[in-house]
Amino acid sequence: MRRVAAVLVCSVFVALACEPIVGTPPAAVPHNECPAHFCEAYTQEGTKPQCSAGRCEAGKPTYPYLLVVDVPTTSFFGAGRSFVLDSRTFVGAKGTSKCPALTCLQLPSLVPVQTSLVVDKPSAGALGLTVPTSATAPTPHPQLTTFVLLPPGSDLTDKRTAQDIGIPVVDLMSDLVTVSAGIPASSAEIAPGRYQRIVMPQEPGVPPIVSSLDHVASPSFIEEIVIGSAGYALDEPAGGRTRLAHLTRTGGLDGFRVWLEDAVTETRISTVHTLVGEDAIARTDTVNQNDGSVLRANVNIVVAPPLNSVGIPTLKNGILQGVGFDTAFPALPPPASVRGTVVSPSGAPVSGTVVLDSQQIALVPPDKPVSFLRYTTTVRTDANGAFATVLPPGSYAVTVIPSASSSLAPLRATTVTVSADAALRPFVVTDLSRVSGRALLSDGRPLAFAEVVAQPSVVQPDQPDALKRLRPWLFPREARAVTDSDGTFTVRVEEGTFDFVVIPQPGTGFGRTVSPSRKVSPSQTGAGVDAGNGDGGAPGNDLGTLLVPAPLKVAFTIHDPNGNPIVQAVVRALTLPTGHKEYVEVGSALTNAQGQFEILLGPVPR
Amino acid sequence: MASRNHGAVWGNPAMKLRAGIVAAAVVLCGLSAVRVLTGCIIADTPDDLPKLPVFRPTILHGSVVPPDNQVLRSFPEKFVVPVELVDPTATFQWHAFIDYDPVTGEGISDVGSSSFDPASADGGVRTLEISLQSPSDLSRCHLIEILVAHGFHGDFDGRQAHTPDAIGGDIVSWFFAPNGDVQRCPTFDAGPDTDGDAGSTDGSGGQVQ
Repeated sequence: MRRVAAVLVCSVFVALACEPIVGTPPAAVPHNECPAHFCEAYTQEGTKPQCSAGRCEAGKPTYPYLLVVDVPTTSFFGAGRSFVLDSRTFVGAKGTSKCPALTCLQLPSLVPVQTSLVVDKPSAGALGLTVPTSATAPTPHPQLTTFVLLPPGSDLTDKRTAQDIGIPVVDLMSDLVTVSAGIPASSAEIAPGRYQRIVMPQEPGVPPIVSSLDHVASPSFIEEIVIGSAGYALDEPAGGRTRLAHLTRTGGLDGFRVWLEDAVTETRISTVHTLVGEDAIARTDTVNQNDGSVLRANVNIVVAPPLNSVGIPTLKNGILQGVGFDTAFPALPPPASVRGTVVSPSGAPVSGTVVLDSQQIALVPPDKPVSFLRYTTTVRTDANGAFATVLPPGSYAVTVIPSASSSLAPLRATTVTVSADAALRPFVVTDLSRVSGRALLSDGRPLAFAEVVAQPSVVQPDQPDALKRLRPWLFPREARAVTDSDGTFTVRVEEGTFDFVVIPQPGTGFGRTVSPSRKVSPSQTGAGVDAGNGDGGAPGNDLGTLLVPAPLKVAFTIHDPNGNPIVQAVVRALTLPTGHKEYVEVGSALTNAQGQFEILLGPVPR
Repeated sequence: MASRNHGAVWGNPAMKLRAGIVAAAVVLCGLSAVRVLTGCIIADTPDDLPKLPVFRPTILHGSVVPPDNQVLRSFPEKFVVPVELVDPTATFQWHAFIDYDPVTGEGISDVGSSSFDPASADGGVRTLEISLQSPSDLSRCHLIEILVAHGFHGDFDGRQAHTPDAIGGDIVSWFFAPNGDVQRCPTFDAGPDTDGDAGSTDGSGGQVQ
């Protein structure tokens, strides 16, 4: 027996010795290489891929796209400005000798915009502003101007801004400057385009000016806005019935403030006045907000409690045909102290944020609750998952957002009714949903080690009218994962509608693929991920296969108007998915020392 | 007996042959074992090549999007932060904060890391694209910070998460002010809250403007 054992052991040694010891090779990241790899292997719609400079490419995109160029703050030209370039205008355009159209994009000159705001003497008198008796010229007022980019091609009645439809540009704020004779003004240099201009005076007794600047173009745009002049007359200079708010509140209105706002964007459009006493009359002056002789539609009167008050709601009531200015702030029951806890399914305390957004506020019985009083507050949970706050009694939509480190899903669409001091039932948050799928190249190779981003869609179909900038807690958070060596991936995401973006590793020669508007159901239901085509999606939370084709190439050099390259600028490519009105990002790059960039794109997302 | 038997063995040619075979097998087996062991030793990591010293990651402040020298009026969908590395193979971490409170350590919003990508032709610049959950009370001012570092003293652990390790890091910050009106922002004195309200952030009700 010992001999047999010895022979066996020896055989093992010999066998091992005969085989070279080879480590496990790292799984390969597929590359787009030719002619080592046949371009014919990519099966995809549109132009057949051709081998070009060692890479299979399917030509240039034939669909419209936008390039958003963010010029670095270190640049001599356009520092910190964003330029939105539309392929429909630069593809096929005539270039210059320094900047040929096929390979170069020249940024347009910035337009200096200077705005000053003055109030003529009659209007100043009507507004109740202090005017020096010796003053003969209109009184200047400091103000800050914000420029909000409007989407290309939309009409001015569309309330949505470029940012609202997925174009990643931030609003531009002006600088305060002093022009001749010590007149304060706001100054900014903006890229040509269509903007909403919001002139917000620093003094609350002067009305804001909200207007559209259509196609601002060089060389400059200088405007002195004179409130009281023909273009900017007060809507009711005499302070008639349609501009006087008559407000009452038992217990007094001391410190309360009143103004008008746009009901959709919640932007203030009138003067602000602080109230005194139980019965107050205040002017709510506006400029260019009348439709005919009465205030336009979609305007709320806002009566807000004093700053830093707690437990008192804000009144927001619609003004219809100029009616609604006489408002009684209802009597309310005393605020209630509310306590609660947030726990995980196992009962462990959860760290996070709780948003309580009123649906109806209770009045002193027998009056019924009302929705025109609103109260929203945000509290954080402590180490025990507990929170406490003070609320006006009423019904509240509760959103519980666990901290990003918890792997727990937010709890939304939960309503609680608060009538008196009480401890709410514990809020139990669940695990994030698991969404799986597989990323494959269109030649059949698995796309290993690519990043998969679940990016919340700009519009959430469950909340079609919600604007993220106003109700951010209603929107899900982004999530990321990396594909395995076989291209499979699992992303842990919240319930909601997402654009799933497959981002191959840089340098591999493939572009992003976007699968837009995929609805993710809660994990408990086991429902599918719907592609929006009504088929309910693949079973379970399975995205199915996401195909990454041979790319389309966009490559340009970015020049300033003087022909100098723009170095280290972030360039992002966006396009509209088929059947959608909101843009998605399909690629990005950083310009190099020569101002060059290259972005590889996939097909039109659908 | 033993010596006789030995003599019998060594005197017998067949036995000699058998003993030779056994000896050869033992030697072969031994050599194989040595080869296996040697193979294992060879499979170990060879002596390291000289390594670059570890440097802190540096943010290309001029290229961050949105620019950090402007007051934000709206909360961006995404923050783009190009990070320059002396060693393109280095791994670094990033931490994002909204309204970081140095007293309590609260405010961390998200964390992540960036690893070396051998396929990348990024020339030592890696671009982070960070999407943060915007604060629920956008009627107030907020401070957004993104820190990058070789490492941090902690991940989600309050002040530790805001402190880079000894190698150091870099930070970019943005100031968010609704309607751009910074006059309406509260003054941060970094002092303790003395009114004992247990850290509630109450108050957006009635303060929207």
